[in-house]
Amino acid sequence: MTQSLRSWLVLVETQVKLLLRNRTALIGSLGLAVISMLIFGSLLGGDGAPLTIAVVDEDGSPAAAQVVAAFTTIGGVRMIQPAQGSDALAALKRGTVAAIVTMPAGFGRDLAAGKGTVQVAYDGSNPQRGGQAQGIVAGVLGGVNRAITNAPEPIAVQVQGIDRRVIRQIDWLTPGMAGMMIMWANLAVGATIIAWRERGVLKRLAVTPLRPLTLLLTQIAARLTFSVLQVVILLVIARVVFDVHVMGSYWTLAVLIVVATLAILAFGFVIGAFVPKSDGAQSISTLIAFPMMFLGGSYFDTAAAPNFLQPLVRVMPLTHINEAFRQVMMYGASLREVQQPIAILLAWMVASLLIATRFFRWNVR
Amino acid sequence: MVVQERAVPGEQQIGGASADNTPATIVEARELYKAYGAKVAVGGVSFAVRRGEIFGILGPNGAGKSTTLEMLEGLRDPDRGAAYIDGLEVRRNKRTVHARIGVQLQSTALFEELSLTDNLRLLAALYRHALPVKRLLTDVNLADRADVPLGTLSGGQQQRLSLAAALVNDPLVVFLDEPTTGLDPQARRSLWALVRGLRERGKTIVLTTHYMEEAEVLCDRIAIMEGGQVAAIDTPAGLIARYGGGLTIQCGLAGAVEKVDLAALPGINAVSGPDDANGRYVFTVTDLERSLVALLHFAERHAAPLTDLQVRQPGLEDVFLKLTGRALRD
Repeated sequence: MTQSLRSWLVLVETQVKLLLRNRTALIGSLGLAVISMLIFGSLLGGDGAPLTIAVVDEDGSPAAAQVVAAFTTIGGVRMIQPAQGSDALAALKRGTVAAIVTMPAGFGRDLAAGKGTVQVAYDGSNPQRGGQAQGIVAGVLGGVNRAITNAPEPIAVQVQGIDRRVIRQIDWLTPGMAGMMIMWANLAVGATIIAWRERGVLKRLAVTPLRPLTLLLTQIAARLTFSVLQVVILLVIARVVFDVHVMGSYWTLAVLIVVATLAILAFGFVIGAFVPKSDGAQSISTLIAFPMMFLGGSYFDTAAAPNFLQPLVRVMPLTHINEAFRQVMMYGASLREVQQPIAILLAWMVASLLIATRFFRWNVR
Repeated sequence: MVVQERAVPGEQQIGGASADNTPATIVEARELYKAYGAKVAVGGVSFAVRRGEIFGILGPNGAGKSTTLEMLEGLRDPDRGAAYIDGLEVRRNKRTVHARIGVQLQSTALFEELSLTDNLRLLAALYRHALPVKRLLTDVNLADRADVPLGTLSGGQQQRLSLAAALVNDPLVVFLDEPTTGLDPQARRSLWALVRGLRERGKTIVLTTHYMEEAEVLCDRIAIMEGGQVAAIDTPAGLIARYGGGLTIQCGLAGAVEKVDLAALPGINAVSGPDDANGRYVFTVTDLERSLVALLHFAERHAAPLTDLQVRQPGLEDVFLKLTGRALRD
């Protein structure tokens, strides 16, 4: 027992050392994340012009007025009330308005019946602002909902407190950078194993009492350790330099890091199973990671992506990693509230592992 | 590891390639057979290695040496036949066998980015009992390079480290696959000295090589392999005595000389030549002194000057040529 524990620790330690030696993994992902935050965080920083949200009241009921009032109390957001929906739309197209909240005629009546509908349109050409606006609108409407349904006061205050926070570009970017980092650092795991195979390392280890499964598990443990380290460094930088706070629990975040890393690792093994050479596997990993970095929504809000891209966006694991990170870091979501992205990631993992175990070769020939 | 009583090498006589299970035998190949598709890599190989000897498998590339070694090490499962190490059938006892053997592969096959210490520490962690890393590095004269990355070592140093790696678990048997391929003569000699040192410490060494000199100088016994078969097994001297073809005298003889007259000279067994290219004769002799004197007198009598006279001792090259019908090139 102590012997196998010692083997485990030394194996994990060795593999973390190997990851640290690999400059591309470290600088390529953590460096990219921090530089992106510096560039995008200061270019589109939260202290710039406040978001403008247009609220259109086509109903005129007291309930609608209540919603309008709720928008006026939001800090960091400018609210305008155009007389007509068409004016608001023109403003949106000019780029002076980030989102339009419309309460259609009959809103008050529907709400009284228990299902009021508010239409929200946002600026698709500027996903940053659109995303921010979406978050704010959701927050405000959530607050109003609770007020209307006479929820107990403490909860309403608490939730509103969070939702009232102004979400800056950097707050939105940081979780995306965490997701991107995990993807870059772990997708090439297949290339690593293939390189070991090519250099005879796997063969060398096969003539020791080491079990291949132990090697695999310690590699995964090392990658997990490495990913947690990376995210911690990222969050410390985000906190110190950009004053980004994590709203949710760190335990939830830790679970997400683990699930995200496992999903990406499993996908990496699939790549490794089908590309025979390590160089090739490395290139294919990059070829997949690069578009996924954008389509997965690390930098831009993919809700604004054209319709034909949506199926691709929705199938990408990074999309769900980023969504879950954002929910937890920006809005303080609990594990239960991000169970859907987690379930999708676990499905990715299981499917990938099934394929990888079927096709991955440990030995040459 | 339990200290084993070691039998004195060479006590037990083993006849050729027959199966043998006496305690003196520590490694045994029993009718090992392995094919890759239609190509038979190893076609029924048997031999027994005794405790404490350096056993060489000599043959050209593609003779099946490495495949044979890998079946003994448990890296490949034979299609037929079985390998035994220390009395255990390898295929069914891989983890136990792997704890008792040390293996050096053709490539260094370790982590180039990591230091020598880290590499050996990793391997040491995989065994229940392991030697101290410092001592291993000292033994192969690499103590001063303990903290440099493996990738920065020279070829000879890498081979030495790879030997140290094969000794991490203080194994009973050490397998070396072409340990000196690609090394310069000096590095090769220093590795030979290390391998002899292992034998002095009671280890059994099984190695493959395609260098005649290595087999002749280093090995106690040799199995000559060709085309997936063992052609002969014996000590280098025994092989040469059996298959080397005896001493030869080689020389040029000018003038009109009848070959039958030469063959009739005392002490001479057979004559071949003159060679079309250089006009040289080769005399296979039974008695060197008598044949030399007779040859000199003959030359004098016939006024046929002898040129470039050489006396040649047969070596493993001759054994190999005789057994396989082709030369093994270094």
